[in-house]
Amino acid sequence: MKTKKIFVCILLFVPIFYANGQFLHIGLRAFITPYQKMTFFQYDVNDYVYYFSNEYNETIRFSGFEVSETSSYIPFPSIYLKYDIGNNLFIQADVFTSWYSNEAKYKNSVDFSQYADVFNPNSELQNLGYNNIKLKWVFMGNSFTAGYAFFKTKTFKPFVFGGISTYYLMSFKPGDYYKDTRGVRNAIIFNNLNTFRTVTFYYKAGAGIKYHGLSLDVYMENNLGPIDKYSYSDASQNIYYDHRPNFKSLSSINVSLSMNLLSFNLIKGQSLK
Amino acid sequence: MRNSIRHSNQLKNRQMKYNHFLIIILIPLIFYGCHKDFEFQNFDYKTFNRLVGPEGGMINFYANYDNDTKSEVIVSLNVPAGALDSLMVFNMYQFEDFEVATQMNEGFAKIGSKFLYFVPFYESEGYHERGQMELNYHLSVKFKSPITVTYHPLANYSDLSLKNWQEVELYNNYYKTTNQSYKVYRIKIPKLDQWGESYNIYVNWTRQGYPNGYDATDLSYLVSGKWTSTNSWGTGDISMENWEPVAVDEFDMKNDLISFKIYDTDYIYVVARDIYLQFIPAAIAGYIGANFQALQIKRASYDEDNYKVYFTDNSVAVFDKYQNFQYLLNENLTYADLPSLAQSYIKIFYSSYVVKKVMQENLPASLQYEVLLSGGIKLYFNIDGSLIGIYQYGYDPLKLPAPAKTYLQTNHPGEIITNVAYDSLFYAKYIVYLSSNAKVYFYGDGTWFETYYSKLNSDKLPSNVFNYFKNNYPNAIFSEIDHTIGIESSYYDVYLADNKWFYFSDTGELQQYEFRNIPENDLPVLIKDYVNTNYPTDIMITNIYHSYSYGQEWYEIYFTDLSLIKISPQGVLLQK
Repeated sequence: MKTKKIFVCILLFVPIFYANGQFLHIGLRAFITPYQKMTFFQYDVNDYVYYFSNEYNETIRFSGFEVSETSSYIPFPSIYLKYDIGNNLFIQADVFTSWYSNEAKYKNSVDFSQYADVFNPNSELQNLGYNNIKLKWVFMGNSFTAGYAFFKTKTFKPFVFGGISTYYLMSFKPGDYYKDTRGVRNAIIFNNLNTFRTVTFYYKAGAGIKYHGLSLDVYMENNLGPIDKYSYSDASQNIYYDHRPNFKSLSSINVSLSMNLLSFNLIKGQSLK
Repeated sequence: MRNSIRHSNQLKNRQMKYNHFLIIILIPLIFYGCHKDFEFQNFDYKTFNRLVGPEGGMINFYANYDNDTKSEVIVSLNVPAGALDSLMVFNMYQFEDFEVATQMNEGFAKIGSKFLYFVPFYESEGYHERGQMELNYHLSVKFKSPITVTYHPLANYSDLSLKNWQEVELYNNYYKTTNQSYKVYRIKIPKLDQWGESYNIYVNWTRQGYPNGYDATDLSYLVSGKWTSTNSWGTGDISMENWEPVAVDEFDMKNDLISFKIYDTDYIYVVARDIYLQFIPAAIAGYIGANFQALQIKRASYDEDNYKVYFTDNSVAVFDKYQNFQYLLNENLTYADLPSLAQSYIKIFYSSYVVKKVMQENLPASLQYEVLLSGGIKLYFNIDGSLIGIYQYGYDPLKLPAPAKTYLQTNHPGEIITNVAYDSLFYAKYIVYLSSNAKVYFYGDGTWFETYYSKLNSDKLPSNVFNYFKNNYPNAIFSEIDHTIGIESSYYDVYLADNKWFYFSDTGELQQYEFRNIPENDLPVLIKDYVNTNYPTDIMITNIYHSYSYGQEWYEIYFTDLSLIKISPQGVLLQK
């Protein structure tokens, strides 16, 4: 597994190695994600239920996972290589990382008051895991985009771009506050949700404005193809709910600020200051 | 040529820059690639669900909802293949009611466990919107072949709370005293409309729309017999009419294990001892006829140590096991019937407590009052109203005397106090119950005087005691070994699986024993002769005890007419 991860990390740079052109820019980009939406597969009301054999006959119903909408204002880092083809066209390869958390919400058969009496009698815990589980994600990724810049003679140049992103899931774990005395139950719930694909693909499209070596852009990303390991599996007859797909779509709106650090004229072999 | 070399050098320099740059980037990436993913413990849902289908399988209901990593099992259902015709979900419930236990204890049955029952439903019907009063979801399932239930009634008492004194009392006075004389009983739950269209048992629902067991009042009426097939809901007298004994596969209360079969889901199960007497022994009837002529007998019970005769005016006559009168309990009293001194004491020291029950114990030579307050505090007063003693479950551990706290911290570090009882009836003492099952006794000033350790391994026995069993009972199976260490004496209690009890001093000297259920053929010849001579053939022996205590040996023989004789091995009658 580790070897596979290292190999994939190296592969992320392949597009950069092949990004040859006249003007090559190496830069840093920081992006935030003001809106992210994760949707889940929906099941019939009795089709995706865990009947836990504990004293409270606790029943967790996954049939109605709610859409998770989150936002993150952490400036995630990215390194890019950008090649200007003439004055208008450009292509760009990025390597980036991002991390965030969201919640998956389910239905619990136990009344909240009864649940809280057992696990939070003094109302001292922030999150009880009563009907939700916090999910913490860490991704590495790269993207390959092509764009077109307008007004080649202006100082401020608007541009549009589109491309493909590849996300590699580096870490996926539940929120820290689930390391409580409900280890078995929470493990089962989390392991049930641990079906996100290791490598997922997204298309991206956006627009921005460029000022010398600085550019500001807004873009959206949406999954291209399945994001769940079991999207194509037919596990509806499995009473123990193994291999049920959970994650249906993942889309986001991002805002990024890029700055060229080094620029090279590859043909003349001179760097531009 | 020179330009070519220069261009080549520039390319090399550029390549070097790229290499450094890539190395810097790759380091964190490799770090991420090698980092260890979070892993929960590997616990499979298949072993933690309550689903089973026609293929059969095992369901384990786990205790410790608040800490499921302990994985203690309360109930196991072993469902054979073909027992069910469809995929089913079993809900398991344990009903517990102090008032019901008390009611049944007064002449009917001693309760030894919670009341266990199951409410099944088809997995395909799992959740659906339903009204609060929906009754028709009481699904009655008859199995095609019996399901084996393995019940561990004390499994979820490792974290006994001090919140509810009644729960603590149930545990310590009822469940923990359960022994081989108890049996498993089942109590009928009527099927839908079985006892009349308007007399169906309610199923409570959570706000989330899932079944949450039967209504507690319904259950209490079914258990206490106030609701039977002939008595409509709650109108009958207390009885055991709904109770039936259950054949058990295994009954090992020392190891908290009971195994039996169930054939459907229409019963509640409980470990209990039937103490109800079908008839009153002649000696007791004679005494009552002579001394309590004005009283009308309601029922009578026998619970090994004594007989109790309950009268219609709620008074109770108590007799010892040899049927000698001990005292009369009058439960008709109220607070106003207490002597003024006792009333004043309660008013001053327990003004915020409600008097729940006042009993007068009329010993042949004295009279005393027992007052039960809300919160489980019992007060004992003399006939003049002076306080004799206090007994309280759930005493606040923080209020233990300082020496007791220090002793516990020093000698039992890390152990949890599950309960503290304060008892001043004869002399003030504290009994501290620890999570290890040990009990530590302190005098009123906090001075330690005894510690009781239970359920020890046989390797904890002194070598001479162990050798005693090796030589005399080579096939002995130890069911429980207890060690009591005290300032006055220390001793071992050893129980064998075949109903033998031994009492050894701390130095390993056998001082007492008691063997129960002795086969009739093992009686000494002289005792057999006595029985044959003095008892007609229609009176049979029901049980034989063989006892020894500090040099004296005797047998106790119980007969079907409820008489009891104590006789020496030489056939000399000692007591009747």
